[in-house]
Amino acid sequence: MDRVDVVMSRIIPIMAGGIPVVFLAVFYVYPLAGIFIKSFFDETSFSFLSLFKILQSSRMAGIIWFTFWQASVSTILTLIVSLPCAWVMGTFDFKGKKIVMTLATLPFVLPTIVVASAFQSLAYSIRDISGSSGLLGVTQDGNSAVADFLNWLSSFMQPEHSISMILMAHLFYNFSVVLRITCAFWSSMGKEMKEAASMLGANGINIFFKITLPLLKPAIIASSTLVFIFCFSSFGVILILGGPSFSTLEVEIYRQAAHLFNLPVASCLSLLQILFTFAMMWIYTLIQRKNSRFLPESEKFALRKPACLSEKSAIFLCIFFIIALCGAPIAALIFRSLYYNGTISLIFYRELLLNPSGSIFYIPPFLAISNSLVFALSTLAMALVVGGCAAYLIRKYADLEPGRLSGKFLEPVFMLPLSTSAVTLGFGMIITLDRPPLNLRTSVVLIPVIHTLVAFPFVVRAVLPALRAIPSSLKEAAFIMGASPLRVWMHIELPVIARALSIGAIFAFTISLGEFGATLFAARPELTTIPVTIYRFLGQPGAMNYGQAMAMSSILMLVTASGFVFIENIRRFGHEGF
Amino acid sequence: MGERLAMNELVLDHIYFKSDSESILNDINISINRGSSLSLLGPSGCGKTTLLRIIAGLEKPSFGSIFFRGRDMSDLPSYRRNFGMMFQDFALFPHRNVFKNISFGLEMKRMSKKDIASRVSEMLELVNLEQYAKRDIKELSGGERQRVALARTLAPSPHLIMLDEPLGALDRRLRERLLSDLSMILNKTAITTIWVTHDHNEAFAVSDLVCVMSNGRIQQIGSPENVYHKPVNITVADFLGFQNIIDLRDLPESMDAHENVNTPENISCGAGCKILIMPDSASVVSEDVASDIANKETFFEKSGMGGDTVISGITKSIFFQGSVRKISITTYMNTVLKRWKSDNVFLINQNKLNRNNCRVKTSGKGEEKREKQEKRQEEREEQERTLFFDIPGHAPIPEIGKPIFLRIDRAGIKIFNQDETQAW
Amino acid sequence: MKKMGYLIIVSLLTIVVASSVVCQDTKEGKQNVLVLERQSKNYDHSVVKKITVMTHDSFSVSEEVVAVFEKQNNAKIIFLKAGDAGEALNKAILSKNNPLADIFYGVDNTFLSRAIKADIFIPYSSSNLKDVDDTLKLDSENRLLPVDFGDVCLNYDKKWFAEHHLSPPAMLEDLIKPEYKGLLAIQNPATSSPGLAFLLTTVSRFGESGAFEFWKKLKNNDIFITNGWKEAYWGKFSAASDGDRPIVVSYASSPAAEVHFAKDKDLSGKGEDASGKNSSLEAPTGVVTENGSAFRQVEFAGILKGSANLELAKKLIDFLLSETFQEDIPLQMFVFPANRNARLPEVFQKHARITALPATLPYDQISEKREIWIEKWTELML
Repeated sequence: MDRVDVVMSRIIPIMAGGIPVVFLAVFYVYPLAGIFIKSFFDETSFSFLSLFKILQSSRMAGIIWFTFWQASVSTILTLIVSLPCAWVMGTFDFKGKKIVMTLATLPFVLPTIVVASAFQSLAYSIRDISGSSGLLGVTQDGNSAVADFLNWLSSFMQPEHSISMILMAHLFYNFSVVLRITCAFWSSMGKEMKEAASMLGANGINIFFKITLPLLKPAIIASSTLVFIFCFSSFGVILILGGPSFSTLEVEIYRQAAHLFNLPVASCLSLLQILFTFAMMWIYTLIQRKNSRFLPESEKFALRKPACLSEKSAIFLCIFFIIALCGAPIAALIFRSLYYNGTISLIFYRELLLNPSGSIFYIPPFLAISNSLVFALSTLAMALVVGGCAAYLIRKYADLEPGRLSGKFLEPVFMLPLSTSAVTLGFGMIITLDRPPLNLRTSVVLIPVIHTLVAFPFVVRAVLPALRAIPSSLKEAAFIMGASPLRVWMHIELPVIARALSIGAIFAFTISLGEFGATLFAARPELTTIPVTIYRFLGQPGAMNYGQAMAMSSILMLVTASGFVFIENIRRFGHEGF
Repeated sequence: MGERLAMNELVLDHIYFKSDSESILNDINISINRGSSLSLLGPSGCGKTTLLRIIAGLEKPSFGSIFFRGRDMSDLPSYRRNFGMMFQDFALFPHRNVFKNISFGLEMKRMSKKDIASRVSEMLELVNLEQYAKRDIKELSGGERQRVALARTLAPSPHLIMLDEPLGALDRRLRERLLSDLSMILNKTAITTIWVTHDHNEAFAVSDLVCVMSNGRIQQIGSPENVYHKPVNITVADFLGFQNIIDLRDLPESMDAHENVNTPENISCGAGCKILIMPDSASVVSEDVASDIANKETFFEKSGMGGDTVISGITKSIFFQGSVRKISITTYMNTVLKRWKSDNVFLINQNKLNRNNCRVKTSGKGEEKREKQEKRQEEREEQERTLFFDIPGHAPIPEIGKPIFLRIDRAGIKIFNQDETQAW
Repeated sequence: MKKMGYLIIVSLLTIVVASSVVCQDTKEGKQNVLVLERQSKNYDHSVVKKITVMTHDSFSVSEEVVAVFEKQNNAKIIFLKAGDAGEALNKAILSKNNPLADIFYGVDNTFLSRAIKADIFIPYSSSNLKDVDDTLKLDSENRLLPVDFGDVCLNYDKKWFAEHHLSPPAMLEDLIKPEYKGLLAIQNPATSSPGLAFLLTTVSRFGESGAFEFWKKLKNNDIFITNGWKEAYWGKFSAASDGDRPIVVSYASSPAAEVHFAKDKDLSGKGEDASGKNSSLEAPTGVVTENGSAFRQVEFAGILKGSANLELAKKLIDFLLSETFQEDIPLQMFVFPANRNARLPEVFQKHARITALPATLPYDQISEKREIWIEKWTELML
């Protein structure tokens, strides 16, 4: 009996805490350290002087400034847009909520090039609508405003390279991050605080600013940190939608590493990016520490039906907005995959099953789907384990023993993989993970590992606020009642964090499904995933290729959506909020 | 009506509340005097919290009005009613410290910083938490949180204060101590108070007026003494925690219980009848006294009033509680029921007692019918029943496992009709 | 738990059923049987030698061709895609102490000097080099052997020019004419290899200073710059997207690909083989290759130092240069085979032309000046 207790109370926590540390050390710190050391000390022709010259150039200053600027503006924009939606989703219960929520998260998986194309076809159909209404002669005084608006909208949505395009794409991608995390928090907040404030004489505005907003702060900060770091290290959006006149640190790192093979500069910029991220996370942790993390004890889901007309119209507006933002481009994309020669046809889908040129890299769609699913589910499992354990580790060392310095580093460190240049990390892995037992350079394992590196910070961010909300008295009570630590975890903590875990799971799943860069590490014919297939089609000219890319993108969304349904049904606790 | 409005602090006038076509509250009418304290007592789901929320303005009634000091409050939003409310789990703001929690209502009143500070310290003094102003909410114990919640509720000097199960979240020991603290503090402030509770002891302890609710209706409203001693129906009795309720429907067919029990006023009290025996109406008597009483003619026939009843059984447990001993006895339905059933008012299940190695003398009349009775009883599925009584602490201590004879005051037996009104 | 299991099964089944329903319509469904067969093929693992080819994302080869080599040599080829052309080469260089592969395929002439400087290839003079034009052999030591080439040039939308009664441009100089204002989409040479090739075309045509003069005028003529070929072709080119640019920088083989992957493939006879399909159609796009307006990109393959399988690697290099592999190249990667004996597929014969006099620059000049030119271009254009 005693032995079992020792295992439960000592060894398991150490092991659990060890998982994320070892994972990060092996797959993140070691490869990065390897590439940094190599690039700074191995190059014979390298001089620090030229390095500093590059780093001190006004162009680099511009890049750094722009990186910060676009990330901040994107984050603020995303917050402004998604908070009202989170309020609607976190307060009301209505039909079709899950569909809307799924719709909002689908963009996350779409390759940037496909999104650009979807925006474009949408812009053109809007232009057609406004054009045809003009032709019909309905553009009288009353309607000209509508036509003007449509014209403006279509010109706005044109993927001409512009800052508005970058911001819009970031909003499109990150909308659901804030929405899901905040909404879960909002719905678990219950109405009691607000009612208490109301009883003390606070009107709606006072309640929102003095009670709701401060209480939501952990979730808002957690999600906006994610969004900020995501935009901070934005790559595809800047490259494809932003065009050549915009460059972020990440784009510059890629350019230096992949094209110019200037590893010292690339490493230096990567290091800079890591330091920035670390600094931001450090500040974030300090803010969080000052914040009270106590939450209402019970996780009540105070969702209600809309009562009055204004609430109903709020819901309507929210649904309308999400459909306009996320649904319309997706619909345009699906339409393109079905539109052939003026009619609706499944020809592009049929063509997916063919390999007319007999290429060895051809893969039937269902195999690509199953590959994608296998990677996504392993990523999900790994991210949950690593992220969950990391959250516990942070909770244990950073929160409960705030005096320890090591604890203070944990939280920022666990966020770093999210903003580390993929190409730098990839190069690092090539030179470090090359000997047994870590000869993983071309291993299949590396794909979910890299996906997990990006996905597990999401799990940490989602789980940590929930974990912090569990009052210790709850656990203590269970211990006193004779529950073993494992049982306490199973029956007390797990149900409370299950909801947060499932949000983390959804993001891990989506990140893995949509990830494209890392998949190429070991892109062997038999391991092709859906995004890789999409890129393969778009790599060659020809209308058939384009149509098939659209068809594959539609399949990717279908797979993602079914994945959501699956994940959400696994979770039997906390039945609301998604 | 006008007079009633003027005289009373709070008047609830025909309040109805429906939610999703489900009727939550039905025709609630209550008037409370200024400075008095009302308890809404009832099982969970009876609508008491909804009623409280309607008074608070957090819900709108489907029909009916609320008048406060003669003014119709129906259209006044909760934040303008100047009512205070203490929530079940206190709903303290976790992002504000103790001081900031208490000052919230004062800030909303746009009081000056100086006034707020003095009022908060006054409140902290009232609840004995002077040292806690800068504390974080999560550092407080349950009792401290309760007192902060109270101070926060009282700080803006509300006209009316409502407490929703204020002790519900706390453990039992804390509850008893805090209950007295709470009522003492509230008495000091002399504010009209409404409590919501499901614990009748709590309700009796703190309020001038108790309102027992069930299924969205008021069952009984009155002083604690009145409600306790004269429950108007079996629902109230049940809710007040009276355990000695005997449902005649529970009896086996062979008991002939479906035959009417004759009561003095010839009220038909058939199988649907329920009988309540008050726990504090018993006194322990010797076997002789018991059979003496039992051998008298039934009191119904004799005088119609005032006669005593005897219940026998076997002592099961005794709890000494100072002034009283709580005892439970095991008896059989028939020993209780026969009291009304026939002349042979006193019966003991001989077999059962013998089995328990305990001989009990019975009266002559009973002796004659003994064999017949025995046979009948053997055929029966006998219903064992546990009854609970409070007997004076100074009375002789019964022995566990031994027969016990109890004399029940006439006032201690109440019979309720099928429709749950008191028949007698 | 059971419910969960059902859900997985149901959602997976839906997808599989959906795809197989689509499959039923196709008569040509046979072809994917081939792929499945390959996976179940039994190799005698004790004798089968494995050989790894590291390459870039755009590499492709047909199943049958691989099978020929594998059968001949009782070997198994493992393909390793390592990112875009630059990334893949960099990975090969980084892993030179412990190479990832035996053979690297896909160093182009803009990266040639980097590869040679890094000294990661073993010289091998394959006998098949005799069939390759000397102009393609840029490495005299034969560490890197030319395997294919493609010409980067302007593509234009035939329909657009017909509708607008404008003749398509004939040479680079035309692009700065006012009538071609706002018609061209190009790629950023810093991030895209056709973009770089196009920059090199202008340098080759006008000389270094003349080229940037030309770019200055080009800038005034409202050109659209993207970071990659995909964005330009699929996003801006009027023949392939909803875009409004009828001229784009792409490959001389792109029209052949347009025909090969045309939507209207059922118009053509079904009996024809894959390469002959659609070839009777007219290409929707045309190319501008004359007057030094097409830049030749040559791709090389080589044996990586440290290969454990030198003999087999040599055989594979021979194979890559053989007609079997070379004839497979056009329809897989839409570039031209280096081996002059390789027969071009019909669609290439009809719709793709090999530029007679392509623009070229010595690779050492490219390597020396590339970054300076890109830097200069970036300053000027962005």
